[in-house]
Amino acid sequence: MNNPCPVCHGAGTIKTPSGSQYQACPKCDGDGLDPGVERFFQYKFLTTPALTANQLLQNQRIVISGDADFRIKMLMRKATGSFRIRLYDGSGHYYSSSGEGGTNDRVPDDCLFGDGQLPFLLVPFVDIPAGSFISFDLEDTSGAGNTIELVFTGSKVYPTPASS
Amino acid sequence: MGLPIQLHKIPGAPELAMRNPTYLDAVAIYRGRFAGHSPTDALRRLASSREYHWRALVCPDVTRQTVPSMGTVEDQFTVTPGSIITAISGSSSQAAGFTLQVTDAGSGQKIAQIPVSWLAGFGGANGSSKFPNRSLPVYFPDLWPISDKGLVLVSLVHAAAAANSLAVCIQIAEKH
Repeated sequence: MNNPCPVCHGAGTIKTPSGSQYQACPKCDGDGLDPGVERFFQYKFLTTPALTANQLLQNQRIVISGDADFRIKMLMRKATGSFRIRLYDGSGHYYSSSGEGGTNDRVPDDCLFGDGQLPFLLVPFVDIPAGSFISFDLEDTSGAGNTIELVFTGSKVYPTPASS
Repeated sequence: MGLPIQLHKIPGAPELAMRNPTYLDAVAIYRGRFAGHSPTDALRRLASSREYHWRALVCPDVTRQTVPSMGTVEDQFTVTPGSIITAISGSSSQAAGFTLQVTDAGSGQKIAQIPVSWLAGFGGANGSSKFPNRSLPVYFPDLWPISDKGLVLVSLVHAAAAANSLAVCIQIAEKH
């Protein structure tokens, strides 16, 4: 979301109450862009059928609804076995990488996902545009059938109404 | 020592409430868990920043994740200078775990040095016993910008007598 902030209109600053100085816009925190209005939301992915032993399942995706951007804040999973995952988005941006010369960017699930009680926090947030998608490759490492549920928790981000 | 980051663009401007300040606090288990610091205080300043994006560095890559007894894995990552390491998470198939060292190659500073077993240090036996789960990330109480060279060195030493499947995932806020 790259709309200008409705308070400072993109300037990033507003006048202080005395009018003699400027301060960072409290609405956009000084970056001039509309921070939007957030509403809690979760997107879920379930492997159906379950992954077979050591199966690599590539190019899986969750399509983000077209009404609002999605801001991912936490990652959670529930699985019957261990797995590795590589996250990327609709623009082809990969969120994990191995070191120089590495040939595989998949991350063990317990390094990247929490659960409902102890979710894994993403800092900074990851914004996925409306109508785009979250993509991932899954690889079973349990050596047995594996049913995986991924939950991407965060907010739908709507533009700030003009009247506010 | 981590350097404080300044997200406000006007020097001297009063500290304003960050956007969405509460989501980190909503997860009570992450508050005040590391040596008396609240990592979320530092993280909150980054959470909604548009100057950074989230990235995970995994070491070693899949093809080298099984490490022989007393084996060592070294890796290096290139990141945008000014990027900030926010957290480290790890996994190990052996209870003995591994030792870890993360170095900023440009400045030569050791960003993280965990000379005892990762699992012992963070799983409850030693160190911060308040961490309830070994796979929880260790969130940094200070934010450390990577220096101009943009090179991060990671060294893992496997401490068990048997082969081990291990991995470390370093979370960074990478500068655009």
